[in-house]
Amino acid sequence: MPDIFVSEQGKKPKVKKTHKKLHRLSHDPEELRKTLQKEIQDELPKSTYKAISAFNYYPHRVKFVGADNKEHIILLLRRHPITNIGWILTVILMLLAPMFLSYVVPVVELPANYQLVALMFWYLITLAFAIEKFISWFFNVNIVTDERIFDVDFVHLIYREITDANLDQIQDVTTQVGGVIRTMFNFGNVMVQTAAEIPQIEFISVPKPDVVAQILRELRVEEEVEKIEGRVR
Amino acid sequence: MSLDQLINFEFSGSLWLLLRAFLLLGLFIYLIFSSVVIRQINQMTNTLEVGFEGPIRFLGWIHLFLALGTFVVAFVIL
Repeated sequence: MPDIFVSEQGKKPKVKKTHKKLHRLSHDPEELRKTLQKEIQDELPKSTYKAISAFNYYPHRVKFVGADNKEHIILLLRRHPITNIGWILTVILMLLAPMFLSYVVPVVELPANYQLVALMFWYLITLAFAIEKFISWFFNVNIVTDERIFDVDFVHLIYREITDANLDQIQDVTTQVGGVIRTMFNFGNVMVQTAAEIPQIEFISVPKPDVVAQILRELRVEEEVEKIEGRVR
Repeated sequence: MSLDQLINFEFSGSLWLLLRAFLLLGLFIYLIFSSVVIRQINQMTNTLEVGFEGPIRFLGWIHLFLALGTFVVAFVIL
């Protein structure tokens, strides 16, 4: 009886190796921009970096603790600058307070040398207050990369808290914009529900929360597609 | 009405001495706080590098030197 099948023993099967470069949407700022709604595309700044900015798209000079070398930072967010108005006004009042003190407090005259030291001490405190408020605004950031989201919080002196969650652990993204000021200046909260140990990560008072939510959605879709296709970085 | 006239003349010298001691102690504690601010800025800039560390560190050091200057001035003139 003739053989139906004869295996080619000793011969190794030929495996076609493909060296396709993994192209990720999140690695190209313009490609990611095109996936967003037209109205939101116009709201996205160009991929240039301003150190003192509350909304940075693909900032190129940012490093932080816990970052992976291959991770691409897509968004660097801070609280909207308008949230600083309160302490700025307080600083202005503190600077002007000594001029009006004699009209408010009953006149108790200190010698001139004590007045000078008290004045210097008052302005020192004012400077410290302004510095603390500024660096608190500047360093409390939210970061979105192509793999994770981060919440960097400096709660008080020498205490920091960094929370991160993988994009594929995000279950729900909710944006909150309420009130006249927030609607006028287009800033609000982005609440991210995750399946990680920390169930919720909050982006508080960030500019353009709708843009942030849509970018997160696109990144999550990309992660889902990669999972289905079995692509792993 | 000056503070000196409100208080019994016999005790005014001791009161000023006490006030001077409290002011100097307060300024010394503030000096320690200023150095803690420097430490805080260093920790923050090590956690997050965004390209603006120089001016912020400079602010911190200016604050420390001003605190030191105030302490020295208070020590000399009070």
